[in-house]
Amino acid sequence: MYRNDRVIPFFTLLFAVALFFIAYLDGRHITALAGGKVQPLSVGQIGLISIGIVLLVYAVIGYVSVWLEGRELRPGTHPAKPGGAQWVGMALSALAVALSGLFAQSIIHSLRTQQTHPAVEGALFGGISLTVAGILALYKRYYQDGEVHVESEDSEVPW
Amino acid sequence: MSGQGSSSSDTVVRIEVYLDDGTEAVRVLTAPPFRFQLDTAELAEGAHTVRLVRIDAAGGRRERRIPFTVQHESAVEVRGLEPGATVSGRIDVDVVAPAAPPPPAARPSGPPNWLYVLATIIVLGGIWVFFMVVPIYSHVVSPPEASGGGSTAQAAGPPVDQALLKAGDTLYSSDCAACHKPTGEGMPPTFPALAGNSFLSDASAVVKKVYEGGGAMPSHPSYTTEDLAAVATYIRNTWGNSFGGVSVADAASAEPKASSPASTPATGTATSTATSPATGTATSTATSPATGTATSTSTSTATATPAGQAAGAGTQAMMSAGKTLYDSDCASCHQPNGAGIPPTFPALAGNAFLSDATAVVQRIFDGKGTMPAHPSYTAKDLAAVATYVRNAFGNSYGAVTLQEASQAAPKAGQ
Repeated sequence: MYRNDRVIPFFTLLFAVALFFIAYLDGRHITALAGGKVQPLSVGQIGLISIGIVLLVYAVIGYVSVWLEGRELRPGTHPAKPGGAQWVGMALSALAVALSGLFAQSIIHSLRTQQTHPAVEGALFGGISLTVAGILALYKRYYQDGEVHVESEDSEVPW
Repeated sequence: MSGQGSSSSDTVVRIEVYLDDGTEAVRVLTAPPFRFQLDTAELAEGAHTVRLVRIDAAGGRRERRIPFTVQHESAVEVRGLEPGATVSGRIDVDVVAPAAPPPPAARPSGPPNWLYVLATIIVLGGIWVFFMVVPIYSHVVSPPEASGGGSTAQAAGPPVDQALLKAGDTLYSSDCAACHKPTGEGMPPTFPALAGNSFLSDASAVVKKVYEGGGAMPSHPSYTTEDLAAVATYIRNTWGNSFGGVSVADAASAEPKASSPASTPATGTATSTATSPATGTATSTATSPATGTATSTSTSTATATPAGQAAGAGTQAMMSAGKTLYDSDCASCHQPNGAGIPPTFPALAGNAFLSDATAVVQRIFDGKGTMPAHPSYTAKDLAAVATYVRNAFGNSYGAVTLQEASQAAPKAGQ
């Protein structure tokens, strides 16, 4: 039996949020020192946010593993049980198409007006990426059979 | 148990299964796989025989006998009395019930939910409390309006004395602008902006900060109360600030230790009359920054350049130009006598770092840490200041030529 732990992802997520929180408060402090004028990100804030992103990715991987494989892995083949997942899949696919259309529209708009909107375009592209990731995870969870192999503890395989 | 026909070329029609000496087949197998189930629970304990008869298409019969022994599981296990044992007197007999199957492994469970909540509160709450309680961060969490929208809340200040404002401009340019910038925007976070800074609303706090310093801010013990009032008035009413004027009386009450203007010659350039600050540093015995010390060889520091290099007529001009620049841009931190304010502003008198002319020029031009950059300096300015600091305050590291300065800071204008 192999366990997908939830304790480590939780604390990884907690520390990621803590680092983002520190970066935010540090930014407020710098802004106050600058007389209320918002300043660019400092080197310290960039460092905090970078480590926070790494921890956040680890946490998401941990939680996705729990969702896809369950808390315990038992040896054998586990057939997929689609249930009603096709409706969610269709909805997510439609969302991805809609976001892609908006993304293309925003690029065309930027070209026409010669004015880019990085926040909007970034948010749209991020939304597309997350939607596609959700579709892939949905496929893995509900449409792909699972198979768990085991190795005995004294196996020669070096893991 | 399973039975199967032989591998001969003859076609197997059926296989009959007989038990012990029975004449009636208990199973008849007619098609592969030739498999049957034998329930030994129905058999008595002891020796038995299974007889398998193979019948092929030609009617040939061949058989095989398989003897076996049946022993049923006992309900209990007995120790101390073996079957068939001969015993006498009292004997101890242990009866052991068969071991129960091991219970299924308990499903592992993680920590309780309240532990997750507690950890979240401790970590995030600790960070919030840290920024709230530690004094240097306390004003970060104040409402943004308090720190940003100063101009509207500043209107009702005391009247501004224009003479003090003008004197403050002069003092600021010479002593403060190197760090806080002529535009008052500073270099956050080390040198905070003065434009729109709500800290300036407290006149007495401003006067005390200018006089006594604190953190990266150097003290100005040579300032008179009039100087303090002038600088405070200037920074409180420039770059969009309108916190109101600060009178000499206000400055005197805020900082009683400052000397009154009557006791020293009236001056707009405090640095020119500055005495050595009372410091406990090793450099407190440095001589006054007279240019004549350029030719002095009295320092104990080993010098890579012959002291005689600093003695030319061109060097004297460089020293003079360097002193002017030093007094206006450097002396507020490194002090007029080069004693600095360690550890934030290192002493220049007897500082071995100055032996490397290239490094000195680059440090002046590019800055580092609390040392501000001077991108507006030309190569001539750099050579002058570097020559001055390397040959004043008892130093004798030699002059820095214009060519050396150009090579050390190629980005500097000529």
